[in-house]
Amino acid sequence: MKGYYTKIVLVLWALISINSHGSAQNGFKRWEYKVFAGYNLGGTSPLPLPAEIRKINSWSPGFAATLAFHITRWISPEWGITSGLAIDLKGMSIDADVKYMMTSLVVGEGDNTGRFTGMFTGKNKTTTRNGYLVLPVLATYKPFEKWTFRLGGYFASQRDAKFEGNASNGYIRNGGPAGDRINIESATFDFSKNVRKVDAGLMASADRFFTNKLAVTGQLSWGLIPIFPSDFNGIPYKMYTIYFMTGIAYKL
Amino acid sequence: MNSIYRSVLLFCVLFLTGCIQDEPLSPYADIETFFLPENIALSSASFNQGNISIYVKKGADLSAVVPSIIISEGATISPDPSAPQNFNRDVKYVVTAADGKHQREYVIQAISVSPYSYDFEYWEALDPNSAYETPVEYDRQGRRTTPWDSSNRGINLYLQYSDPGKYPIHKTTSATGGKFAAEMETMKGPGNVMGIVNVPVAAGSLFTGVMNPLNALKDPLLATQFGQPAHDAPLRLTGKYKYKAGSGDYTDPKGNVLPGVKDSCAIYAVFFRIDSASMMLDGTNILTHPNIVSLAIMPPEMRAGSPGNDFVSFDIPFVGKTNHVVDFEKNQYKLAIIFSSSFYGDRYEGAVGSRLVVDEVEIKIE
Repeated sequence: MKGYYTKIVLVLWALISINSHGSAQNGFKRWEYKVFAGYNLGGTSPLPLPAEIRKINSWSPGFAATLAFHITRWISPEWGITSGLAIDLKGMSIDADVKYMMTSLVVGEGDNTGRFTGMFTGKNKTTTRNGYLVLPVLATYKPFEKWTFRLGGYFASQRDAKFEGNASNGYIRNGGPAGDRINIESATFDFSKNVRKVDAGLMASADRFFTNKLAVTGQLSWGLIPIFPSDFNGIPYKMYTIYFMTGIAYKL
Repeated sequence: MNSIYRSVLLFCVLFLTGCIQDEPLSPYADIETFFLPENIALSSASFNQGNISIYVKKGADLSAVVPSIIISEGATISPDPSAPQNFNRDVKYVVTAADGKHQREYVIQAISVSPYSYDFEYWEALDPNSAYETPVEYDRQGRRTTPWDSSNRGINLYLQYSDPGKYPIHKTTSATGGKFAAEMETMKGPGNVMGIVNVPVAAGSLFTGVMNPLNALKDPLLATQFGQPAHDAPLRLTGKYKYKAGSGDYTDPKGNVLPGVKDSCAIYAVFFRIDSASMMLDGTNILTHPNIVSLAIMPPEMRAGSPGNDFVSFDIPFVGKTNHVVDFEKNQYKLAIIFSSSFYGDRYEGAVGSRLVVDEVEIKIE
């Protein structure tokens, strides 16, 4: 996986090198290139929070970074279209108290594959970190010299998923609320293989330039496709990736 | 920098906490405890899914008894539990959960005569949501009782089949008396279950008592709660069986193969004195508990396998373990009958393919 990312970075770098002498016509630069790096804060979360989640004990973003390359084609001095490519790690850890949460885990292999299904009440710790290759398409607006705003959407391809956790200090009612009660001191789950291969959503960002080249950038990515497919039963509600990145951008 | 970071985190947690919805209404519709008055009851109630059986003293007047029932918080029960009921017949209660959506039906049985002969003719899916079957018995008045439970209930937690014949305990037409006998088979287990326990093999175990999965994942030996109240002292355990140890590798609980070890079956019965109405024996103490009065266990050479393909009769005397003198006036007792396709199956140990069939089992009391 690491090698895969390295290759992408090299390709991006090659593109930048070739195009870094953008042409200036009619008094404004037609092509603009930008690289940026930032830190993702957010959640892979249901919206709104379902009633099963009773209390959030802790939340932490973990290591979730973005490394991106943007190409902007300016149509006028104020308006343009931006696309590019980004490597996005979206992740977090959350510790919550849940009540009456239906879940279904695959247990065993081959002929002995079964499902452990039930309604869980207790503590749930989840750690997720999904690596995406992101292609944005953004309308770009530059009302002032120092500010650039973008609004549009993105398509993402999931390259590396981690969604795992631990259920503890509780019990499960096997099969549903009328089932046998089974104490769960500590059980693990891993839904990494179930994370959807694609994501898409809305994106909005802003750059505030401090020098000609250097800007502070902020970017909101709001996933509109649930991260698990509809036939997935591990989690009873739909979850979306909603992350805000803050970082530094450098205009090439 | 660190304090800014912490502030951001705190803000996020507070923000999310603000989004927490109202607590959902409870979907539980359980009878949590069930008691009959002490002058009537011989044991505490035994729960097998929606069947609650409670052993009562011989000759007790059951015509108008007020039980004491505790149900799930916020739930309602019908009929009114404070109304006297005639426990000479089955009594039905329906509990509706606080959410109004979920309901459970319970059938209460007061048992005044212990059944001592078991022919495994009647099998039922006691859990309405699962296919596995458990033998039920009919007493001389034609009342159905549920003295048996099995490891099917444990297996069903993580392996669900639509065909009851695929579960480790099932009926078989290879019977000697009547149409059916009880067959138990040691199967390959699912392996790692949610990082809690490793189940390399799953044996078929059938026993009088209750399979309580409450702590089954963490401590499987506690899940098998052995024993049903006894009204008489047993003398001999008799019946017919056939057993072939599995030809596959003998596997220990960690999944290691133990070379040269042959599987053997379990056929035994334990008669024990109880300190309280709720006392049961479990997998940790069924052969060793100091309260054991007498024990009938099939000798090892018979447990290793039966010759040929036909049923072989067994007649095992109960052997006293202590000097205890049985006295039903002063003490109360329980009796557990246990069959398993692998002797150490309750520890998830055995050989895949071991197969035990039992039929026409009797406890001789005189």
